[in-house]
Amino acid sequence: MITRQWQVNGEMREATFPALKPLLHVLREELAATGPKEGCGEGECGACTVLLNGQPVTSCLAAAGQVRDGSTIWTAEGLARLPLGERIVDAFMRHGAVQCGICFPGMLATTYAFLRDEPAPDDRSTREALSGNLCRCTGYSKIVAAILDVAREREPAGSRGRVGAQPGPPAGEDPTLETLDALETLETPPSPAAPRAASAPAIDPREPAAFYAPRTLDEALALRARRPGAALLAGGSDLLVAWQAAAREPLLRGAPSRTARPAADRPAETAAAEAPCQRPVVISLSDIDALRGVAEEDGVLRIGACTSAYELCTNPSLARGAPALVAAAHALGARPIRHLATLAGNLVNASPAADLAPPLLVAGAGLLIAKAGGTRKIPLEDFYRGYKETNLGPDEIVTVVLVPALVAGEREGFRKLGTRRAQSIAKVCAAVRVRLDAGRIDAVAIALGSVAPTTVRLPRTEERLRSERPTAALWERTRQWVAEEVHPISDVRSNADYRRAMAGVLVTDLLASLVCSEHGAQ
Amino acid sequence: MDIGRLQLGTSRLRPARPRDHSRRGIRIGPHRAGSRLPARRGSATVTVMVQRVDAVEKVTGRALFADDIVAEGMLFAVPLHAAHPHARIRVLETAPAVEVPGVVAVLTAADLPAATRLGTIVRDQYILAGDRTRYQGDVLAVVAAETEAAARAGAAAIRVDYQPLPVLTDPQAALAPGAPLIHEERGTNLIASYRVRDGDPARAFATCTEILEREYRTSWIEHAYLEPESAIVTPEPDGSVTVRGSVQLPFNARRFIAQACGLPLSRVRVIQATLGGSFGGKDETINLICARLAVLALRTRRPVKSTYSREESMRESYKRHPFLVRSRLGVDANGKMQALDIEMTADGGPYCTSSPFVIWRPTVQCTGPYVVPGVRCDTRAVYTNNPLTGAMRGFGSPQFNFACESMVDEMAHAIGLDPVEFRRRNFFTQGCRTHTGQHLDNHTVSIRQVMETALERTGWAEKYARCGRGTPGPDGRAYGIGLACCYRGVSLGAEGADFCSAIVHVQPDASVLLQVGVSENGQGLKTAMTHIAATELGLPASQIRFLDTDTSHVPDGGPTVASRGTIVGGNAVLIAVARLKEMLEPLIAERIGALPEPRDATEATAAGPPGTTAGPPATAAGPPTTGTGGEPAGYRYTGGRIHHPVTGESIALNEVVAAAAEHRLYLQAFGSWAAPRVSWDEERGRGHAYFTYVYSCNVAEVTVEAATGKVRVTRLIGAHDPGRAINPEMVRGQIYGGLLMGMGLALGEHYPVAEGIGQVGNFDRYRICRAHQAPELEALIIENPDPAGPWGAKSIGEPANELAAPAITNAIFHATGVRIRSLPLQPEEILARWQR
Repeated sequence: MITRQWQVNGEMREATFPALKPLLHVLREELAATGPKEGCGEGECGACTVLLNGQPVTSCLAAAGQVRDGSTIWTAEGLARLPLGERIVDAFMRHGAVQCGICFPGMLATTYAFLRDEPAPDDRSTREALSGNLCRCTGYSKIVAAILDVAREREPAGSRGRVGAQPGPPAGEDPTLETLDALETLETPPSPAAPRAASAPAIDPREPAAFYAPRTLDEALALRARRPGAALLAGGSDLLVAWQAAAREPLLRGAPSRTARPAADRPAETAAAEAPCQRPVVISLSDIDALRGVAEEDGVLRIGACTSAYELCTNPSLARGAPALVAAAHALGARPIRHLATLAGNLVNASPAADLAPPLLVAGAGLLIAKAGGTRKIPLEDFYRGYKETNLGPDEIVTVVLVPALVAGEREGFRKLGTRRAQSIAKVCAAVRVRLDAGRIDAVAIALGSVAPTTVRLPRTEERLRSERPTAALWERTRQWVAEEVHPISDVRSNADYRRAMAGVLVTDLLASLVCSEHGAQ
Repeated sequence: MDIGRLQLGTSRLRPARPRDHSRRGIRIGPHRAGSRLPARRGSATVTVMVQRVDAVEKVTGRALFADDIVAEGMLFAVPLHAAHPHARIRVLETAPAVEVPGVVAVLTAADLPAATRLGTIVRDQYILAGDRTRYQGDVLAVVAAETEAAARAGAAAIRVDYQPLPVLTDPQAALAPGAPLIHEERGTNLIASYRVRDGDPARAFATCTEILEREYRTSWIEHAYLEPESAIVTPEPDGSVTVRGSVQLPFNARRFIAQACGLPLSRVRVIQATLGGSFGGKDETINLICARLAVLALRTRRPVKSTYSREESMRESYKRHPFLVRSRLGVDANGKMQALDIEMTADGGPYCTSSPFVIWRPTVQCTGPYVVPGVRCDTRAVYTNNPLTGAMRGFGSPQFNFACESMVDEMAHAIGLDPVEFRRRNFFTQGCRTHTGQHLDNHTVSIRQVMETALERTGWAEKYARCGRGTPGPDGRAYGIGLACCYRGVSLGAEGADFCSAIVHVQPDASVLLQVGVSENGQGLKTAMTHIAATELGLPASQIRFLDTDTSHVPDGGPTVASRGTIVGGNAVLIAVARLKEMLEPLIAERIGALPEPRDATEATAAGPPGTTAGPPATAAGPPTTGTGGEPAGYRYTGGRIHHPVTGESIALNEVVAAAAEHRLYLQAFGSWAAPRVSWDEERGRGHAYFTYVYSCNVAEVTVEAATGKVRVTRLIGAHDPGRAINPEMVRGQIYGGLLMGMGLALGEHYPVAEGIGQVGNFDRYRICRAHQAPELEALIIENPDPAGPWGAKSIGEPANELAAPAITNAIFHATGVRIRSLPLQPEEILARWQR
């Protein structure tokens, strides 16, 4: 068990809980904040959205043990008392936006962050902001209208500053209290339920687990060496899904619906973690500040492994040097998921559907992988060994992703064909980086997700495109070449023929749009 | 915040012409042709936007949904579900579960004290599966423990040895001779069947110049209420139980619980918790959950709670029935429908639930809103080992309407007629006779008005002319527009006993407690009932408190289903208020003078605005009040005061209430409303199936991407005649939500099933529409007040949800030339079939 002190809705509160218990359950069960609801337990519905240190997160996917002492948490109950919250509630009333109402505490949290941070909301941006909050009753129309009403009512920016300036949770607020222990080893005795382990999930988030939250990389690596096979927990948006689902419904364990997730940060050790294990061991990486952030050196972007998808979306260096990666981070999920999901988490999952891998593959990205006593560098392409398999050692941690920034003359882009644009596992996703020289394709890199056991480059198509002049006829042939080069499978989401055809369409569309944007219509 | 602001006078009942209400919706007055019809029941003259009485607590997280309720010393219970959809249970060993620390009790079929099987219509569903499983959601055991973790550990420790049996997955095969029987004692896998024979279809087909024969299919649809099932049962010292839960039909839940526990109904008290969505889905499944918890609570003498995970909910809860519709339609040389031969087969899963009702409705509505002289209709629901199916918003109509309106469009195309013109030629008209022999003469048959309004608003003619018809535009997308129309019987019809009560109880300070025998499911019933009572009593809504449905405090008003809440509850409230006013009348007369004797209509009108009579509304079968028919003008209740209709003298309501105490008078009134008589002859398929009908039209605009086959619905319009929109904003809310859910039947929502097992378990794979994917939605409200409805209102909940799918598939056809006959549609299929 672990004890934390947080500021919940403006009051200091203390709670004691198993470290992996989702924040949602700690709020509801230990702190009597029953505003946030559980609709799915996997970050899809958003009914559990709260503001954690000012940012909206799906609290069902945040391991409470990862929430540092001194963090601020705002739920609907508290937000409704703040001036902006009051105005949002009032607008929902005026518009008759509420029906059964169970999604609204989450809607309120998402809306609060959106209106606080977005200077000029419109219909489209409002709907994007709500894309992580499901509502089955209302058709969203009145919710959107109400939010736009609040935005319209805002005073001009000059008179009062942004909405965030008012009392309440500011964006990106830092915890004010220090964490008590740097290297916590809270090993509790195995739970009474442990005998069922043979047929039960390795880690039940409701059970006490050995939970380590090192503050430095060295400490983490030392732990890693001592406890090989421990699960590495970054943002939790994938691991908590897997762990909780297995705990909630044993019959569905192994059902196809759980095999991959966009907001993935499932470490390579899951295989080990899934083995019978009486004392689940988890190393949280979220307290290691050195693993976050973006720097640029000599045309190479150094991105900390635990940089969140949200940070990827908002970093100006990346917008310039790796726009395809930014686009993919956007497509990975709605904002509450983006605040949790991390870059390396998405990569080490080795899911063929991982959104962030194709843009990195076309950029020729590499990984820095550390273990106690040394660091190695490896191209991302060589990192993947097969379906959900990487060559990360049991004592290693991915620390940095190195991305060659776009140079003059280069263009890149990302597209995803899913059942939806956000919060979705791709049917096919594609990234392309291309350079033209004297009207011919000088260099091109193409990567695809969901068409093979891993995300892949298309070397033959790339070779065939080199030195070609971009014409409609070339795109026609490209479509064929791509379709020939990929070998997708049929599954619940789509069939092989469709995926093959779509791979061709996506790549060709992307190429054509990138080339056209540089050289005018072809 | 003042939730009781009644913006009186902002919007007259009968606007003279269509009026733009700015928020993407218009309301339109009565159909001229029907204007000779009697006016509505009740006395108000205005419809207004009343803010929801229960919304603030929901948004701010204070409302208590079932899972938010805890009790001191409660246990947590989890189910053990069947691992095989059809199997003998050879061994069910619970001892290892009892050994798990924290586990207090394990309940199996062997432990049940009374009934072992329950059901709404047929008691065929096992409370707990004992020797055999019949679907993926059968519960073998419930484990109650000190913590959820211990309960789950206990459930995981239970040892089950299954002997798998052949899994019946195809309703057709299930009816074949020699098929294994799901319930041996019934001797057949047929759950129910209905038929209609009208005219001489064989001869009528012979006169036809074009005959089409088609097959249409729909698949399972999950209700996807965002709140999974949850309930908490407390054993009381007197041996009774109190249940708080996410139940849609508290009285049905009470019956299930009483039968399972062997208790009289008086010892089971069900209080509905704030309900996080239902859409027809929180009936049998949650009732059974409550029944199991109640048995456990009585056994352990402790409160027991259970909250399902999404996966458990999707596994056990019933879905919308997949339908197979085989239809043969014939038209003559004038484009008039002459003959229809239609068969519908619904996959009922392993238990009856409400399957008979679900197939009866489409039987009664099998022609769509069209006159067809020769009809043969056969419908059936069949037992299988597939996921359980039951009531879902629309009750068989969404599936049938998809088939019907696809066929109508296909026929129009086949005979080279415009789909709009084809419909115009065949629509129901005022006073026409349906295929069940009912004459539609007691309400306004507004189908044509509804469709024309929708078309005009859409700019149909221009848009229909530029449909792609197989050829994409320069942007690689083909544009299409499509429509669909339907009529829908209001309330239960001849399915059930249709009556409801309300209790209005005025407190000494003139605040009011209101109870109604139907319940709030998120649709806004509390607000509608409060609105009606407040307006009739001339009080602000804040002075009325609607008490959550409590089965021990109000009589059973029948199920809150079939879009009947407003009509039956509202009428009951009107009657209760009228009774109350009768009690008050002598007191008022003492103070501001008696009412004048009955006079003729002219004088009554002169004395006050029409429709302000306080007389009791007409009884169910009798003629409705007209408000101008020569009845005495009553006292007017407004602004917390009571006004004399002639002298204008007035007195505050609370003064009269105070006077009541002096007269030793309790100001509590009971109102009971029974629906007009309906009838059904099973043999011939004939009768007055419903006492009135709602008319609807949906229009969809789509673009289809040629390269990917992806369909984007850009705009959905729902045009409906709900009689009268008591609260137009809430009606629009129902329409918007209904359109989006209706769209899910066509695309996006998919619950694939393999060998009886659902292949998706949560919202990552069962995808309901998100905000950024929603098309532009528009609600058109056309009002033709219905004599049977409170203030003329009929219903909207289900009409809003039953037409989007065929409007969309018709639009796709006009865009691409690809006709979708099986739902959900997949871009894969469109791409493969779109031969350009």
